[in-house]
Amino acid sequence: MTSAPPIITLQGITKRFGSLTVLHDIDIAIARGEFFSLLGASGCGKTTLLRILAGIEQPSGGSLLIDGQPMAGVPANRRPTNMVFQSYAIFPHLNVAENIGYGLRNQRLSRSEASARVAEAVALVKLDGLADRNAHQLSGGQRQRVALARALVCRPKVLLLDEPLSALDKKLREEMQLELRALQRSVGITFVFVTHDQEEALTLSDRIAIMEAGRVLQLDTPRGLYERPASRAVAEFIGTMNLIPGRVAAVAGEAVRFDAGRLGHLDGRAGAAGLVAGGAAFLALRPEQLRLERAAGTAEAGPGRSLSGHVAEAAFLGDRIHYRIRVAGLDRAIAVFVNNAGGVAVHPLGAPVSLDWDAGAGLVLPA
Amino acid sequence: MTIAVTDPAGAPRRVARGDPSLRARRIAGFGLLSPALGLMVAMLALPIGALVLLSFWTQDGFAIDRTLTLANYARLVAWSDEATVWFGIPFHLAYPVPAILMIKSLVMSLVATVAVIALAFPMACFMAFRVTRHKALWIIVLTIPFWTSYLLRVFSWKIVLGFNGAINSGLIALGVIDKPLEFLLYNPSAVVLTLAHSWVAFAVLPIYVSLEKIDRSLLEAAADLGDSRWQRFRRIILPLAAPGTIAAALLVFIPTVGDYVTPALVGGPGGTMIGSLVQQLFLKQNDAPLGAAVSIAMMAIIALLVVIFLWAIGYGRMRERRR
Amino acid sequence: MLRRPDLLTLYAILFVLFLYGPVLLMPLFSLNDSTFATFPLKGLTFRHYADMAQNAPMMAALRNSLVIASVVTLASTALAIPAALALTRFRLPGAAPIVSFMMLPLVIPSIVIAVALLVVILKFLGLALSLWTVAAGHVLICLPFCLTVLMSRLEGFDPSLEEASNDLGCTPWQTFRRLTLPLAMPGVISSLLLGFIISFDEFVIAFFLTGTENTLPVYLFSQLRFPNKLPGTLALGSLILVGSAVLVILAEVIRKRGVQSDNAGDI
Repeated sequence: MTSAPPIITLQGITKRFGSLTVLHDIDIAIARGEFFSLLGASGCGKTTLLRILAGIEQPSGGSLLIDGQPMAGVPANRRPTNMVFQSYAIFPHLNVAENIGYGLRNQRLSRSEASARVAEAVALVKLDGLADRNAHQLSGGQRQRVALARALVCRPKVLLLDEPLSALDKKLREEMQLELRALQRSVGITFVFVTHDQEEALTLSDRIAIMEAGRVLQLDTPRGLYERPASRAVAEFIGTMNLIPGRVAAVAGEAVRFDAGRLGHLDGRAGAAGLVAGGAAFLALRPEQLRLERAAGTAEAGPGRSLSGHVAEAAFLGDRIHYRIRVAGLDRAIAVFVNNAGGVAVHPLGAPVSLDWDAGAGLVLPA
Repeated sequence: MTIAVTDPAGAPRRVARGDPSLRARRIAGFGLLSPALGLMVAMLALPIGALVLLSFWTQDGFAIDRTLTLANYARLVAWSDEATVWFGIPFHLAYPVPAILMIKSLVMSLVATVAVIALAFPMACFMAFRVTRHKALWIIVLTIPFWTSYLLRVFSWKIVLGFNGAINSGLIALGVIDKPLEFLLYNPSAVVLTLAHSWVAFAVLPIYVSLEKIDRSLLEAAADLGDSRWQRFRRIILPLAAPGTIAAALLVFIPTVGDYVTPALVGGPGGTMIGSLVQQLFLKQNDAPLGAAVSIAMMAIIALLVVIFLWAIGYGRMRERRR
Repeated sequence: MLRRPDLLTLYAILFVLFLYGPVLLMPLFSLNDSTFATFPLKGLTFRHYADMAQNAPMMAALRNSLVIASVVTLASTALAIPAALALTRFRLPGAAPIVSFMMLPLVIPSIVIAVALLVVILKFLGLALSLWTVAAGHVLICLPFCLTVLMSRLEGFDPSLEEASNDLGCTPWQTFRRLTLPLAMPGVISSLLLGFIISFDEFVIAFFLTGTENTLPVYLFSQLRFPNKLPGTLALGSLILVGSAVLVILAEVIRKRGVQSDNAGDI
């Protein structure tokens, strides 16, 4: 993945609408065959970036290479990319087969070759038997498949997907996620996928770029983002994260001594470079990495990796139990997820408890 | 009748001037627009300009004197010691016909417009709040009369109201009267009635659209807060439908002031309007410059009245609020 | 369709009667075996219709009107299509005032438009009046209607359709031919029909701008003064009413159907 030249290289891409800058100096390289996601809240610039890749929008600055070719001045219709639109943009005056074959008309194929390609695409997205249906006779899921087939049939080097699953209900969406992933593996085309749903991005992607306010906050694998968030924003965006405010007391390589004020000194490891003693910071703890004990029991992890408080809330979710633990000296209650491995007792509200965690579970992030 | 120009990405519309792809798009856009826009300029803006120019010339026998002068406009307001009395109002004008006809046309138009709105509003309410299915059918029912010949719709009133018309012959046949009623046709009331009938269907649609746009939950909320049916109508429906209703009223009032067909067919000598005078001056009396001055004065007066009216009722604020 | 008869429903029925009553007298009396439009009715006859075919001036006027209306509607729709595209798709600066300007013929009394054109044609250009000057005037008053119909049609669909077509390899022209035009077709057809009706029925501009030849409404107007011509006038008027009504229904149905079929199933 690293040795071959990237299929997409974005360098210093900037986009301004009047005085408003929606993309700041974006640098991303996307590898051939990768499932790459742009993840962020609405308005973060992810869709604009995708539209720049497609050639629907022009960047105000920076350069874009697709498969080594500069894309400046290349209109959308001559780019080796195809897009699945958020609204699917199914042509209402054409049936399923005509929709799917739309782009092939521009590719100088013989009639038989084109219809073979359409049939192949119809089978690929499991729309067999629906080729003659009109656009308005299709369900949301079927429209999504038509949009996919219509783009894939053109054999693009890169497939661009703009929140293609957001219009589907939860169950169908989860089904389509698996199918999309399997489809991407079987066709081997690079997918660039835009979503605001972090779970979807984690499920599907090889790598994810998290965007906020027109910038890339962090670009990593799903596991890397989850386990090594480099900033508070990323830590809070992916999964649930407890953040204890305080200062850096001392740094020794990876190990950081964290001063949590009234809670005393806690142990953590450096989550980002450039932590200096005395700087404001957060200690980040994942809820599922915390252990919960009745306060009577001694904290086995020892000082520096434990806290005590009482149960403020407990929610039984079947496979796990969610607690909120009120700790004296913290504004926000600490979330703790306990797996229900069978026979786990639920701590009652108000019960005094102690929390502890393994060395390395606490991540110190700059404020 | 304006269009919303929005950016698909939801970004503000103002775009950096230097963007070359955008400049190219703008040039293409104006290229597509130019044939229609050019025609409108050549056949509307320039002719109106020519009409204005002509109104500053004068007719000199069969020739036109091209010296720029306000003589035509001066004639419209020239003072005379002798008063022409019309409906008890003395007009101290040497040539009172245009002024009297203008006032008469405005009054007749206004009455017709008020009648149109009064007739159209309940119908629009019916369409918006009572019709649940077949809305399209009702819209077609109301659209047909608007698109079928204006001339024939006016003429049909001549058949209804005429000396030998449907009402007179019907009443005679029924033995209610024994000789035709003469006051039905050829008077200002006949013109107003006919104008109202011709334009009422046209006014229903804009009012209906503004009623249809009212969120039904607003009415439910008002009812929940204790409003009766009548209070809901007065406090919710009426204010929210006001901009559409005013627009409809103006779309009726403005063209009817200058109407020519209706007074010509059902007005008789007493029912003439300003449009009849324009036609006379151009086609019969061969005084096109004066006719031009009358036309321009008419448009200016209408425009002025509309602007004053809109300002007086605060139309701009009303529309802002509606958004 | 209606829940229960109430005052408003009653009013609606009366309203429709008021709207259609006077107009429907025309076909009624045109079938009456009498030279007067009076009650009581004398008996059914079609002779007023049969007589029309013998009426050479009427037939000439009809032919003129058909030709003018066809030319006018083609010209105005052809001008309105690119203009509607430009105004709905290109985010042009100043689009709103341009649209307002293009809508002016809707509010300027047609007698003013007529005399303004008359002045330009006779006094400034020195051209002779003819059916062509009528047609030119009609294009002007049809354009706002054609433009409104086409713009509302073009605004109705998802802008990402055109982006998708572009993304799938179509040039702007190919996108227009393969996507935009077929989708706008119901609007184009209703624009053609409405333009035809407006021109065919228009009287004032034709009255001022025609030369020696008549259009049908001008001919009709000249006949309205003669009581003895009444039955023929009624027959002609009835035919025009029926013809216009058919065209309007057609235009509306095509427009509505187009809108419905695109929106059904949308998410």
